[in-house]
Amino acid sequence: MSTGTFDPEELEFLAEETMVTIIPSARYPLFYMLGGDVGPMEPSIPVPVPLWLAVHMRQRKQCRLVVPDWLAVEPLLKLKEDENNSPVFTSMPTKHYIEISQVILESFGDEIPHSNDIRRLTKDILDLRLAKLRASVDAFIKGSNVYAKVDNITEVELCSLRNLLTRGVDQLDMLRSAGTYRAPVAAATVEDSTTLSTNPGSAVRSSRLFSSDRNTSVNS
Amino acid sequence: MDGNDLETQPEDLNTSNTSETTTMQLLAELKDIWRNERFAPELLPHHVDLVDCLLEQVRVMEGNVGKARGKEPYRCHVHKMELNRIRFMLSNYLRCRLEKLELFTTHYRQLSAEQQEHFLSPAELTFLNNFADKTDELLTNSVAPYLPTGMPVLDAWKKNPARPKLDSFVFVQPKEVLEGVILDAGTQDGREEEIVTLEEGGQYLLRYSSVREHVMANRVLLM
Repeated sequence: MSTGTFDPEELEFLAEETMVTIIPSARYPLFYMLGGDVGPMEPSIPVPVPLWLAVHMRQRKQCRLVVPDWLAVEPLLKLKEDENNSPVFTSMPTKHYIEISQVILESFGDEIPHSNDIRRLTKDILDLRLAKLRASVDAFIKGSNVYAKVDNITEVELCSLRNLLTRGVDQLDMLRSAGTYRAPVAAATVEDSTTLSTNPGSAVRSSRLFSSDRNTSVNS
Repeated sequence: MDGNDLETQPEDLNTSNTSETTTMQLLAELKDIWRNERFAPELLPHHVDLVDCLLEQVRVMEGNVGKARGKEPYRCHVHKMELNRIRFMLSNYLRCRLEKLELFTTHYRQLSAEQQEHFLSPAELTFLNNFADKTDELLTNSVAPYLPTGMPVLDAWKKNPARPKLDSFVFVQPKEVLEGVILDAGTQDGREEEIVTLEEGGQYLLRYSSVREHVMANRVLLM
Protein backbone atom coordinates (compact mmCIF):
# COMPACT_ATOMS: atom_id res chain seq x y z
CA MET A 1 0.00 0.00 0.00
CA SER A 2 1.37 3.35 -0.94
CA THR A 3 -0.49 5.57 1.51
CA GLY A 4 1.23 6.63 4.69
CA THR A 5 4.75 6.84 3.40
CA PHE A 6 7.02 7.52 0.46
CA ASP A 7 9.21 4.84 -1.08
CA PRO A 8 12.93 5.50 -1.38
CA GLU A 9 12.46 5.86 -5.13
CA GLU A 10 9.83 8.51 -4.63
CA LEU A 11 12.04 10.39 -2.20
CA GLU A 12 14.74 10.33 -4.82
CA PHE A 13 12.24 11.62 -7.34
CA LEU A 14 11.44 14.56 -5.07
CA ALA A 15 15.11 15.25 -4.42
CA GLU A 16 15.77 15.35 -8.15
CA GLU A 17 13.82 18.62 -8.30
CA THR A 18 16.65 20.28 -6.37
CA MET A 19 18.53 22.83 -8.44
CA VAL A 20 22.23 22.17 -9.06
CA THR A 21 24.77 24.03 -11.14
CA ILE A 22 26.23 22.44 -14.24
CA ILE A 23 28.76 23.51 -16.82
CA PRO A 24 27.25 22.56 -20.16
CA SER A 25 29.38 21.56 -23.12
CA ALA A 26 26.65 22.15 -25.67
CA ARG A 27 24.66 25.21 -26.64
CA TYR A 28 20.89 25.38 -26.15
CA PRO A 29 18.52 28.33 -26.09
CA LEU A 30 16.18 28.83 -23.15
CA PHE A 31 13.98 25.86 -22.23
CA TYR A 32 10.46 26.98 -21.42
CA MET A 33 9.72 24.32 -18.83
CA LEU A 34 6.42 24.16 -17.01
CA GLY A 35 8.33 24.14 -13.74
CA GLY A 36 10.24 27.30 -14.65
CA ASP A 37 12.61 28.37 -17.41
CA VAL A 38 15.96 26.64 -17.66
CA GLY A 39 19.01 27.92 -19.49
CA PRO A 40 20.04 29.31 -21.89
CA MET A 41 23.06 27.06 -22.07
CA GLU A 42 26.41 28.20 -23.37
CA PRO A 43 29.48 25.99 -23.31
CA SER A 44 31.60 26.52 -20.15
CA ILE A 45 29.14 28.92 -18.55
CA PRO A 46 27.68 27.59 -15.29
CA VAL A 47 23.89 27.39 -15.26
CA PRO A 48 21.41 26.14 -12.64
CA VAL A 49 19.23 23.19 -13.67
CA PRO A 50 17.14 20.64 -11.80
CA LEU A 51 19.14 17.59 -10.74
CA TRP A 52 17.17 15.22 -12.98
CA LEU A 53 18.13 17.24 -16.03
CA ALA A 54 21.76 17.36 -14.93
CA VAL A 55 21.77 13.57 -14.64
CA HIS A 56 20.23 13.22 -18.05
CA MET A 57 22.63 15.62 -19.71
CA ARG A 58 25.50 13.88 -18.05
CA GLN A 59 24.38 10.56 -19.49
CA ARG A 60 24.70 12.18 -22.89
CA LYS A 61 28.05 13.63 -21.87
CA GLN A 62 26.80 17.16 -22.36
CA CYS A 63 27.76 18.67 -19.05
CA ARG A 64 29.96 18.60 -15.99
CA LEU A 65 28.63 19.18 -12.50
CA VAL A 66 29.65 21.90 -10.10
CA VAL A 67 29.61 19.65 -7.04
CA PRO A 68 27.77 21.24 -4.10
CA ASP A 69 30.23 22.58 -1.52
CA TRP A 70 29.08 20.26 1.23
CA LEU A 71 29.61 17.13 -0.86
CA ALA A 72 33.34 16.82 -0.22
CA VAL A 73 35.52 14.98 2.25
CA GLU A 74 36.38 17.95 4.53
CA PRO A 75 32.86 19.29 5.14
CA LEU A 76 31.48 15.78 5.57
CA LEU A 77 34.17 14.92 8.11
CA LYS A 78 33.17 18.03 10.01
CA LEU A 79 29.48 17.09 9.82
CA LYS A 80 30.24 13.61 11.06
CA GLU A 81 32.24 14.93 13.96
CA ASP A 82 29.49 17.41 14.91
CA GLU A 83 26.90 14.69 14.70
CA ASN A 84 29.03 12.47 16.88
CA ASN A 85 29.54 15.13 19.53
CA SER A 86 26.01 16.41 19.61
CA PRO A 87 23.29 14.77 21.68
CA VAL A 88 20.65 16.18 19.32
CA PHE A 89 20.30 16.07 15.57
CA THR A 90 22.51 18.57 13.80
CA SER A 91 21.24 20.53 10.87
CA MET A 92 22.14 18.99 7.51
CA PRO A 93 23.22 21.07 4.49
CA THR A 94 20.02 20.06 2.69
CA LYS A 95 17.07 18.00 3.77
CA HIS A 96 17.73 15.64 0.89
CA TYR A 97 21.41 15.07 1.66
CA ILE A 98 21.18 11.29 1.35
CA GLU A 99 19.24 11.21 -1.90
CA ILE A 100 21.26 13.98 -3.51
CA SER A 101 24.61 12.49 -2.61
CA GLN A 102 23.44 9.12 -3.85
CA VAL A 103 22.19 10.45 -7.18
CA ILE A 104 25.26 12.59 -7.72
CA LEU A 105 27.71 9.85 -6.81
CA GLU A 106 25.95 7.43 -9.07
CA SER A 107 25.90 9.69 -12.11
CA PHE A 108 28.94 11.89 -11.58
CA GLY A 109 31.06 9.61 -9.41
CA ASP A 110 33.92 9.43 -11.87
CA GLU A 111 34.44 13.18 -11.94
CA ILE A 112 34.37 13.67 -8.18
CA PRO A 113 37.64 13.24 -6.29
CA HIS A 114 37.56 10.76 -3.38
CA SER A 115 34.07 9.62 -4.27
CA ASN A 116 34.48 6.44 -2.26
CA ASP A 117 35.39 8.39 0.86
CA ILE A 118 32.41 10.63 0.31
CA ARG A 119 30.11 7.67 -0.08
CA ARG A 120 31.44 6.14 3.11
CA LEU A 121 31.12 9.39 5.05
CA THR A 122 27.50 10.02 4.08
CA LYS A 123 26.73 6.46 5.08
CA ASP A 124 28.49 6.97 8.42
CA ILE A 125 26.52 10.13 9.08
CA LEU A 126 23.26 8.41 8.26
CA ASP A 127 24.13 5.50 10.54
CA LEU A 128 24.95 7.83 13.40
CA ARG A 129 21.67 9.63 12.97
CA LEU A 130 19.61 6.47 12.65
CA ALA A 131 21.13 5.13 15.86
CA LYS A 132 20.13 8.34 17.65
CA LEU A 133 16.71 8.09 16.13
CA ARG A 134 16.17 4.53 17.33
CA ALA A 135 17.14 5.50 20.86
CA SER A 136 14.69 8.41 20.78
CA VAL A 137 11.89 6.24 19.46
CA ASP A 138 12.48 3.80 22.25
CA ALA A 139 12.13 6.61 24.79
CA PHE A 140 9.12 7.98 22.97
CA ILE A 141 7.20 4.73 22.95
CA LYS A 142 8.04 3.80 26.52
CA GLY A 143 6.84 7.12 27.86
CA SER A 144 3.24 7.61 26.79
CA ASN A 145 3.90 10.65 24.73
CA VAL A 146 1.51 12.62 22.66
CA TYR A 147 3.93 14.94 20.97
CA ALA A 148 7.58 15.26 20.05
CA LYS A 149 9.71 17.79 18.31
CA VAL A 150 11.80 16.26 15.56
CA ASP A 151 13.63 19.21 14.04
CA ASN A 152 16.46 18.59 11.58
CA ILE A 153 15.54 14.99 10.93
CA THR A 154 15.43 14.49 7.20
CA GLU A 155 12.80 12.69 5.25
CA VAL A 156 14.76 9.55 4.45
CA GLU A 157 15.37 9.18 8.15
CA LEU A 158 11.71 9.73 8.98
CA CYS A 159 10.67 7.20 6.38
CA SER A 160 13.08 4.57 7.62
CA LEU A 161 11.54 4.99 11.03
CA ARG A 162 7.92 5.37 10.11
CA ASN A 163 6.83 1.76 10.03
CA LEU A 164 8.46 1.00 13.32
CA LEU A 165 7.12 4.06 15.03
CA THR A 166 3.67 4.84 13.69
CA ARG A 167 2.55 1.26 13.20
CA GLY A 168 4.04 0.36 16.57
CA VAL A 169 2.14 3.15 18.28
CA ASP A 170 -1.05 2.13 16.48
CA GLN A 171 -0.63 -1.38 17.82
CA LEU A 172 0.05 -0.04 21.30
CA ASP A 173 -3.13 2.03 21.08
CA MET A 174 -5.05 -1.11 20.26
CA LEU A 175 -3.49 -3.02 23.10
CA ARG A 176 -4.15 -0.24 25.55
CA SER A 177 -7.77 0.13 24.64
CA ALA A 178 -8.12 -3.64 24.63
CA GLY A 179 -6.81 -3.65 28.18
CA THR A 180 -9.53 -1.31 29.41
CA TYR A 181 -12.33 -2.80 27.40
CA ARG A 182 -12.18 -6.45 28.09
CA ALA A 183 -15.90 -7.00 27.72
CA PRO A 184 -16.47 -6.02 24.09
CA VAL A 185 -13.38 -7.85 22.96
CA ALA A 186 -14.87 -11.13 24.14
CA ALA A 187 -17.63 -10.69 21.58
CA ALA A 188 -15.13 -10.24 18.82
CA THR A 189 -16.65 -9.98 15.39
CA VAL A 190 -15.37 -8.71 12.12
CA GLU A 191 -15.63 -5.06 13.02
CA ASP A 192 -13.84 -5.13 16.33
CA SER A 193 -10.41 -4.68 14.96
CA THR A 194 -11.47 -1.43 13.37
CA THR A 195 -13.51 -0.03 16.23
CA LEU A 196 -10.73 -0.56 18.70
CA SER A 197 -8.24 1.47 16.86
CA THR A 198 -10.51 4.22 15.68
CA ASN A 199 -12.18 4.88 18.98
CA PRO A 200 -11.24 8.51 19.62
CA GLY A 201 -9.22 8.96 22.75
CA SER A 202 -9.03 5.26 23.35
CA ALA A 203 -5.30 5.41 23.76
CA VAL A 204 -5.52 7.85 26.56
CA ARG A 205 -7.80 5.97 28.88
CA SER A 206 -5.37 3.32 29.85
CA SER A 207 -2.22 5.31 29.51
CA ARG A 208 -1.77 5.50 33.27
CA LEU A 209 -0.16 2.12 32.81
CA PHE A 210 2.69 4.02 31.30
CA SER A 211 4.76 6.76 32.80
CA SER A 212 3.28 10.22 32.83
CA ASP A 213 6.24 11.83 31.22
CA ARG A 214 4.42 12.84 28.07
CA ASN A 215 6.47 15.51 26.47
CA THR A 216 9.85 14.01 25.93
CA SER A 217 11.22 15.90 23.06
CA VAL A 218 13.17 13.73 20.72
CA ASN A 219 15.32 16.72 20.15
CA SER A 220 16.27 17.94 23.60
CA MET B 1 3.58 26.15 -37.61
CA ASP B 2 7.26 26.43 -38.41
CA GLY B 3 8.36 23.68 -36.11
CA ASN B 4 9.68 26.12 -33.58
CA ASP B 5 6.82 25.63 -31.20
CA LEU B 6 9.00 24.99 -28.23
CA GLU B 7 10.58 28.38 -28.53
CA THR B 8 7.39 30.24 -29.22
CA GLN B 9 5.86 28.42 -26.30
CA PRO B 10 5.00 31.31 -24.01
CA GLU B 11 2.80 33.02 -26.60
CA ASP B 12 1.06 29.75 -27.28
CA LEU B 13 0.45 29.00 -23.69
CA ASN B 14 -0.19 32.40 -22.27
CA THR B 15 -3.59 33.81 -22.64
CA SER B 16 -2.63 36.09 -19.80
CA ASN B 17 1.03 36.83 -19.32
CA THR B 18 1.02 35.65 -15.70
CA SER B 19 0.18 32.09 -16.58
CA GLU B 20 3.80 31.02 -16.57
CA THR B 21 4.25 31.76 -12.90
CA THR B 22 0.85 30.28 -12.31
CA THR B 23 1.90 26.94 -13.77
CA MET B 24 4.95 27.00 -11.55
CA GLN B 25 2.80 27.75 -8.54
CA LEU B 26 0.37 25.03 -9.51
CA LEU B 27 3.20 22.54 -9.70
CA ALA B 28 4.51 23.58 -6.31
CA GLU B 29 1.00 23.24 -4.95
CA LEU B 30 0.61 19.83 -6.52
CA LYS B 31 3.76 18.69 -4.78
CA ASP B 32 2.36 19.73 -1.41
CA ILE B 33 -1.04 18.23 -2.07
CA TRP B 34 0.45 14.99 -3.31
CA ARG B 35 2.64 14.73 -0.25
CA ASN B 36 -0.19 15.43 2.18
CA GLU B 37 -2.47 12.97 0.43
CA ARG B 38 0.16 10.27 0.68
CA PHE B 39 0.78 10.78 4.36
CA ALA B 40 -2.73 11.51 5.59
CA PRO B 41 -4.64 8.49 6.87
CA GLU B 42 -7.89 9.77 5.35
CA LEU B 43 -9.02 11.29 2.07
CA LEU B 44 -8.32 15.02 1.85
CA PRO B 45 -10.65 17.49 0.10
CA HIS B 46 -10.37 17.10 -3.66
CA HIS B 47 -8.49 19.54 -5.87
CA VAL B 48 -10.13 18.79 -9.14
CA ASP B 49 -9.56 22.32 -10.49
CA LEU B 50 -5.85 22.13 -9.95
CA VAL B 51 -5.60 18.66 -11.45
CA ASP B 52 -7.65 19.61 -14.52
CA CYS B 53 -5.70 22.79 -15.04
CA LEU B 54 -2.35 21.02 -14.87
CA LEU B 55 -3.55 18.21 -17.11
CA GLU B 56 -4.61 20.80 -19.65
CA GLN B 57 -1.19 22.47 -19.51
CA VAL B 58 0.50 19.11 -19.90
CA ARG B 59 -1.68 18.31 -22.91
CA VAL B 60 -0.98 21.62 -24.60
CA MET B 61 2.72 21.13 -24.03
CA GLU B 62 2.61 17.57 -25.32
CA GLY B 63 0.93 18.89 -28.44
CA ASN B 64 3.72 21.41 -28.94
CA VAL B 65 6.38 18.82 -28.34
CA GLY B 66 4.71 16.54 -30.86
CA LYS B 67 4.75 19.28 -33.48
CA ALA B 68 8.36 20.18 -32.88
CA ARG B 69 9.59 16.63 -32.96
CA GLY B 70 12.16 15.91 -35.63
CA LYS B 71 13.53 19.42 -35.74
CA GLU B 72 14.95 19.47 -32.25
CA PRO B 73 14.94 15.95 -30.91
CA TYR B 74 16.93 16.68 -27.79
CA ARG B 75 14.84 19.66 -26.71
CA CYS B 76 11.70 17.59 -27.22
CA HIS B 77 13.21 14.86 -25.17
CA VAL B 78 13.90 17.18 -22.25
CA HIS B 79 10.39 18.57 -22.37
CA LYS B 80 8.95 15.09 -22.52
CA MET B 81 10.92 14.11 -19.47
CA GLU B 82 9.46 16.99 -17.54
CA LEU B 83 5.95 16.17 -18.71
CA ASN B 84 6.41 12.56 -17.69
CA ARG B 85 7.49 13.65 -14.25
CA ILE B 86 4.40 15.81 -13.88
CA ARG B 87 2.16 13.04 -15.15
CA PHE B 88 3.71 10.67 -12.66
CA MET B 89 2.93 13.01 -9.78
CA LEU B 90 -0.62 13.57 -10.97
CA SER B 91 -1.43 9.93 -11.48
CA ASN B 92 0.24 8.85 -8.28
CA TYR B 93 -1.81 11.45 -6.42
CA LEU B 94 -5.06 10.30 -8.00
CA ARG B 95 -4.25 6.63 -7.54
CA CYS B 96 -3.49 7.21 -3.90
CA ARG B 97 -6.95 8.73 -3.48
CA LEU B 98 -8.60 5.77 -5.18
CA GLU B 99 -6.71 3.44 -2.90
CA LYS B 100 -8.20 5.18 0.11
CA LEU B 101 -11.65 4.98 -1.42
CA GLU B 102 -11.23 1.25 -1.96
CA LEU B 103 -10.05 0.84 1.59
CA PHE B 104 -12.81 2.85 3.26
CA THR B 105 -15.58 2.42 0.70
CA THR B 106 -18.48 2.03 3.08
CA HIS B 107 -17.30 4.83 5.30
CA TYR B 108 -17.14 7.33 2.46
CA ARG B 109 -20.37 6.13 1.01
CA GLN B 110 -22.15 6.83 4.28
CA LEU B 111 -21.05 10.46 4.35
CA SER B 112 -23.67 13.10 3.64
CA ALA B 113 -23.94 14.32 0.05
CA GLU B 114 -22.48 17.63 1.12
CA GLN B 115 -19.41 16.03 2.66
CA GLN B 116 -18.98 13.76 -0.32
CA GLU B 117 -18.95 16.78 -2.57
CA HIS B 118 -16.31 18.35 -0.38
CA PHE B 119 -13.99 15.37 -0.32
CA LEU B 120 -14.61 13.64 -3.63
CA SER B 121 -14.47 14.89 -7.18
CA PRO B 122 -17.49 13.93 -9.34
CA ALA B 123 -15.45 11.22 -11.05
CA GLU B 124 -14.29 9.83 -7.74
CA LEU B 125 -17.84 9.75 -6.48
CA THR B 126 -18.88 7.70 -9.51
CA PHE B 127 -15.97 5.37 -8.88
CA LEU B 128 -16.92 5.04 -5.23
CA ASN B 129 -20.52 4.19 -5.99
CA ASN B 130 -19.59 1.68 -8.67
CA PHE B 131 -17.01 0.07 -6.48
CA ALA B 132 -19.41 -0.13 -3.53
CA ASP B 133 -22.19 -1.62 -5.65
CA LYS B 134 -19.92 -4.24 -7.14
CA THR B 135 -18.50 -5.17 -3.75
CA ASP B 136 -22.01 -5.48 -2.38
CA GLU B 137 -23.04 -7.62 -5.27
CA LEU B 138 -20.08 -9.88 -4.81
CA LEU B 139 -20.68 -10.31 -1.10
CA THR B 140 -24.40 -10.89 -1.50
CA ASN B 141 -24.03 -13.41 -4.30
CA SER B 142 -20.83 -15.20 -3.53
CA VAL B 143 -20.22 -14.89 0.18
CA ALA B 144 -23.51 -14.53 2.02
CA PRO B 145 -25.04 -17.80 0.77
CA TYR B 146 -22.19 -19.79 2.28
CA LEU B 147 -22.27 -18.24 5.72
CA PRO B 148 -24.18 -19.99 8.51
CA THR B 149 -27.68 -18.54 8.49
CA GLY B 150 -28.44 -15.85 10.94
CA MET B 151 -24.89 -14.65 10.99
CA PRO B 152 -25.26 -10.92 10.57
CA VAL B 153 -21.66 -10.37 9.63
CA LEU B 154 -22.39 -8.38 6.52
CA ASP B 155 -24.78 -6.06 8.33
CA ALA B 156 -22.36 -5.61 11.17
CA TRP B 157 -19.67 -4.84 8.65
CA LYS B 158 -21.87 -2.14 7.13
CA LYS B 159 -22.80 -0.66 10.48
CA ASN B 160 -19.23 -0.43 11.52
CA PRO B 161 -17.09 -0.16 8.43
CA ALA B 162 -13.34 0.30 8.35
CA ARG B 163 -12.63 3.95 9.00
CA PRO B 164 -9.40 5.92 8.58
CA LYS B 165 -7.28 5.85 11.72
CA LEU B 166 -7.33 9.52 12.57
CA ASP B 167 -5.38 8.86 15.74
CA SER B 168 -2.27 7.61 14.02
CA PHE B 169 0.92 9.56 14.42
CA VAL B 170 2.23 11.73 11.62
CA PHE B 171 5.21 13.99 11.11
CA VAL B 172 4.20 17.54 10.35
CA GLN B 173 5.92 20.72 9.30
CA PRO B 174 3.75 23.84 9.71
CA LYS B 175 3.85 26.40 6.90
CA GLU B 176 2.90 29.12 9.38
CA VAL B 177 2.81 29.50 13.14
CA LEU B 178 -0.05 27.43 14.50
CA GLU B 179 -1.35 28.45 17.87
CA GLY B 180 -3.64 26.51 20.13
CA VAL B 181 -3.09 23.07 18.68
CA ILE B 182 -4.85 20.69 21.04
CA LEU B 183 -3.07 17.44 21.74
CA ASP B 184 -5.08 14.44 22.75
CA ALA B 185 -8.53 15.92 22.56
CA GLY B 186 -10.86 13.72 24.53
CA THR B 187 -8.56 12.97 27.42
CA GLN B 188 -10.59 11.22 30.04
CA ASP B 189 -8.38 10.17 32.89
CA GLY B 190 -8.10 13.48 34.62
CA ARG B 191 -5.27 15.07 32.70
CA GLU B 192 -6.27 18.27 31.04
CA GLU B 193 -5.82 18.72 27.34
CA GLU B 194 -2.49 20.02 26.33
CA ILE B 195 -2.28 23.02 24.06
CA VAL B 196 0.86 23.80 22.13
CA THR B 197 2.07 26.30 19.60
CA LEU B 198 3.79 24.87 16.56
CA GLU B 199 6.50 26.98 15.02
CA GLU B 200 6.66 27.66 11.34
CA GLY B 201 9.11 25.28 9.68
CA GLY B 202 9.56 23.19 12.82
CA GLN B 203 9.09 19.44 12.63
CA TYR B 204 6.78 17.62 14.99
CA LEU B 205 5.49 14.17 15.65
CA LEU B 206 1.90 14.13 16.83
CA ARG B 207 -1.46 12.55 16.23
CA TYR B 208 -3.10 13.30 12.92
CA SER B 209 -6.33 14.25 14.70
CA SER B 210 -4.56 17.19 16.39
CA VAL B 211 -3.69 18.86 13.11
CA ARG B 212 -6.50 17.53 10.94
CA GLU B 213 -8.07 20.94 10.36
CA HIS B 214 -4.72 22.42 9.41
CA VAL B 215 -3.97 19.64 6.96
CA MET B 216 -7.32 20.18 5.26
CA ALA B 217 -6.62 23.91 5.04
CA ASN B 218 -3.15 23.20 3.64
CA ARG B 219 -1.43 25.04 6.49
CA VAL B 220 0.94 22.19 7.29
CA LEU B 221 3.00 19.75 5.31
CA LEU B 222 3.02 16.12 6.30
CA MET B 223 6.32 14.34 5.96
